[in-house]
Amino acid sequence: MTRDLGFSGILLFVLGLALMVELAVGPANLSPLEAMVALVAGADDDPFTMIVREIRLPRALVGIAVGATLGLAGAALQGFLRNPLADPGVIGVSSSAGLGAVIAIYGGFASGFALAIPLFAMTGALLATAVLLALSARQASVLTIILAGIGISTLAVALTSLVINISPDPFAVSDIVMWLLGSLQNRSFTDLWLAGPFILLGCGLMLAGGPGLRLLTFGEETAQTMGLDLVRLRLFVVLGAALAVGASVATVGAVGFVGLIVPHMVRPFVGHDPGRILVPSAIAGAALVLLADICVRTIPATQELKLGVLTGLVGAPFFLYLVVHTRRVMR
Amino acid sequence: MSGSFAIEARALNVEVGGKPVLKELSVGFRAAQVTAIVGPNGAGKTTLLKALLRLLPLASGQVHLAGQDISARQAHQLAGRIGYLEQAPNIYWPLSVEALVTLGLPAAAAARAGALEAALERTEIAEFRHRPVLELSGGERALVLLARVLATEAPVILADEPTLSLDPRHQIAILECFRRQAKAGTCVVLVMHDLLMAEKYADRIVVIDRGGLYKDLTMPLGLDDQTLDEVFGIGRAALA
Amino acid sequence: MRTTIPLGLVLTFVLGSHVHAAPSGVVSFDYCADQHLLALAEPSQILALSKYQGSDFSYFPSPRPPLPQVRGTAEEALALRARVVMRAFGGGPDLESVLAPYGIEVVNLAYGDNFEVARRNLRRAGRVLDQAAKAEALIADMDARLARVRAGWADRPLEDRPSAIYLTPSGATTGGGTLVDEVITAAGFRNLYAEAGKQGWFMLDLEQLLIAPPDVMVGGFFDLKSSATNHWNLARHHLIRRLLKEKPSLLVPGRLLDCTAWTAVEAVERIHRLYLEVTTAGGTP
Repeated sequence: MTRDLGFSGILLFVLGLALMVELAVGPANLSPLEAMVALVAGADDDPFTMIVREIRLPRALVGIAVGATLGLAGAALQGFLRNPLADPGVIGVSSSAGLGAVIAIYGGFASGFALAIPLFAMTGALLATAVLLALSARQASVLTIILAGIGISTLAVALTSLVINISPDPFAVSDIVMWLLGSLQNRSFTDLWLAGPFILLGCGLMLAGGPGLRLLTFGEETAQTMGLDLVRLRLFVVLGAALAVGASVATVGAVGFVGLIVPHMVRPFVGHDPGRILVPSAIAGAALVLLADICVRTIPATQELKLGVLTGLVGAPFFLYLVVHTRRVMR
Repeated sequence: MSGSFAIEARALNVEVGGKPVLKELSVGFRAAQVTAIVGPNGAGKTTLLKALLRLLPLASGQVHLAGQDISARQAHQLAGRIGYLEQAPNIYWPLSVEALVTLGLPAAAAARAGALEAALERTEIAEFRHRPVLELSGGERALVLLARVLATEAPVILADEPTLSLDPRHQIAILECFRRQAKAGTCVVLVMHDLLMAEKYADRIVVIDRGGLYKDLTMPLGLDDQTLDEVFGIGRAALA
Repeated sequence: MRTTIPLGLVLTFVLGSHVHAAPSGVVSFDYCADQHLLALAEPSQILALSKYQGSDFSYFPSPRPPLPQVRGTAEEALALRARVVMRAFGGGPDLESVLAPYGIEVVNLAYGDNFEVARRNLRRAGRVLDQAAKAEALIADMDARLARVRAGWADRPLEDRPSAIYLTPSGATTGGGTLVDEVITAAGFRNLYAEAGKQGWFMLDLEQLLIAPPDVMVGGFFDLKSSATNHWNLARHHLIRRLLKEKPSLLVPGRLLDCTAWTAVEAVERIHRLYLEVTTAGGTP
C-alpha cells in the first residue's frame, strides 16, 4: 500500500514537472519560472499572461484529462478483457467515437448544440464496446477479440471516409483529416467544461471497477463465487470507458496507443494486479500525453506536428513488440 | 434429515442451452465429510456444482445452504460461504503466490495475514510464497489455488476435477489436504474422474448418470459391480 | 456506340468550323469554370454547368431557368457529346488523356498566386469560347477597379497603412505569395505575416496572434453554411471571437476568393470599403 502511494507520488511529481514545462514551451518562449509567475500573478492585459492562462493552461489541462482517461481506460480494458494488448484504440473504441463526432459535425447536429459532439462520440464508443462485450462474454480468445477490434475500427474508419466522401464542402475534408490525427492545439476552457463532466464520471466508474477487475484474475465464474457482481463490473468498465474515451475523442481527436503503453510501463513497478495499476496508469497517462505534447511543440516543423501522429509513431512499434513478446502468454 | 446437510439440492431441474441436463435431482452433502461425485461424461456433474453455486439458473427445484433457501440468490452474494475450485482454472495475471492466495479476502490486514499463513501451511506451499504463480508447475499451481479457497475459510468447498492433469504426487497431496479439511469440519464435495482415488479418499460416493442420482454409496463399501457395469460400462478388473 | 461518338464529333467539328458560329457544346466541371462560362459565354454555347451551380461557392447565382448540370465525370462529357470541358479542379487528374481520343478539348483554369494568373485564365477562356473581346473588357474593368482602390491609399506611407491578417473559420491564414495576400495588399493593408517573412498558407498560431495582434482581421469563408455547423473550428476559440469583436473584422464571402479569378477584385473593394465604414463610424481615420 505504501509502496503504491510512493510510486504514484513519484508519478505525480513527474506530472507536475511536465506541466511546468508544458506551460513554458511554445512560440512565445518563456522560462518555467516566468510561466509560473505569469500564471499566478500576471497582469490581466499582458499578452504573456494571456498566453499562459488562456492558451497554454487549458491546453495542458485538457492534455492531463485526456491522458489520464486514456491511461486509465487502457488499464481497465486490459484488466476487463484479461488481455495485455487491449487499448481503446486497438479495440476500435476511439475510431468509433471519432465517427460519432464526425457525424455530429458534418450531419449538422452540432450547429446549435455544442454538446452534440461529445454525446455522439460517446454513443459511438458505447456501440463499439457493446460489440466487444458480446464477444468477450462468450469466452472468445484473445486473438478473436483483437481481430474484432480491428474489424470495428476498420468499419468506423470506412464510415468516416464515407462522410468525407459525400461532404459537399471540399474544405471540410482537410478539417476532418487534421482533426482525426489528434491534437491539443487551440483547446480552450470551453472544451474542458464540455467534456470534463463526462471524463470525470467515466473515470470514476472505471476506478470503481478496480476491486472487480482484481477478482477477474481467476476468470468470470470463479470471480463470481468470490463476490464479483459481473453485471455491475461490466457497467462500470464499459460505460465508464465509453463515456470518458468518447468525451476525450470528441475534444482532441484520436490519440492512439497511450492506453496500450501506459499499463505496461506501470506494471514493472506496481505489479500485475489489475486493480492496483488503475490509478498509476491514469497519472502516467497524463504525464505521457503532456510529454508528447511538449515534444510536438518543440520539434521544428512548418506545421505543428499532430499529437496523434507522434503517439502512433512511437506506439505502433511498441505494440508490435508486445505482440511478439506476449505470444507465449496469450491464451 | 435435511437439517444436517451443509448444502443440498432439492428436485433440481437445470437446462443448459435449452436442453435439460439435471432432472429432478435431489442430493445433500454433509459437513465434516468428503463426498465424491462420479459419473460418465455429460452426466451433469459440473452442472450440479454450478447450480449449487448459483452460477446457473434453475428451471425448477431449490438449493439450500445451511438450511437456508438460496435458490433466488446470485453467485456473488454467496461469497465466503462456498469455496469453488473450477475445472481447469485460469490465472490471467502473473501475481505472486501470496497475492493470489489473499486475493478477494476482506481488507483487514491482521485477519488476512492469519488466513494466509494457515492456508499456506495446510497446503504446504509456504516456501513458494513470493514466487510468481505462472513459474510454478501445474501441481504446485493447483495447491496455490486450493490455498486461495482455504484462506476464505468457507464451510463448504466444491471442487471440479481438482486432480485433473496432475502428477500422482500432487494428486495425493491435494486429496490429503481435502481430507484434513473435512476432519476439521468443512463439507467437501469433489467431482472426480478417477474412480480408485474416489474410493480411497471419499467418505461417500454419489453416482450421477444422465442428470439423475443413480446411487448413493457410503464408503468403505466401494463401487459395486452393477454400478460399474451399468454406469461406466467396465468391470472391476479394469480398475485395478 | 464507341465509334459513333467520335464520328459524330468529327462531323460536328467539320460542320461547325464551316459555319463559323461561336463554339458551343461547352461543359463546366466546377464552380471556377462555371463563373468563367457565365461571365463570357452566350447561353447557347453552354451545354451544362457543374453541380455547384447556385451553391455557396458559386460567384453567380443559378441562371433562370437553371442549366443542366453534371457531377464532373468523363462519362457525362461523352454522353452529352461535349466539345469542350472547362475546369479548374473537377474531373480528376487524368481527364485530358481520357477525353482526348474523343476529340474533346479540356481547358484547365489555373490556380495561381496573383492577379496575373486571373488575367491569364480569363484570356484562355475567352480564346476557347471565341469571346476574346469580352474577356479583355473584364480584365480592363478589373484593372480599373484595382487602380481606383489603390488611389484611395497610395499616398500613405507604408508605416501608416494598417496591418491585417487573414483568417478562415478552420484557422488557416496566409503569408506572402498567395492571391489573398495580393488582395489584402491591394486593399491598402500590410499583411502582418508576409512582413514577418512567412510564405504561403499555414495554420494560425494563437500565441503569435496575442503577441503581435494586427490592426484589422480579414475573414474569408465565414459565410459558408458548413462553417457554422463546425464547432471544431478555431474560430470558435474564445480568444479569436474576442479578437474578431474588438478589432475591425472585415468579412469576405467565400465565393469571391475560392478561385483565381477577376472576382477577387470585388473582395479588394469590399475590404477597402468596409474598413472605411468602420473607421469613419468609429471616428478614427
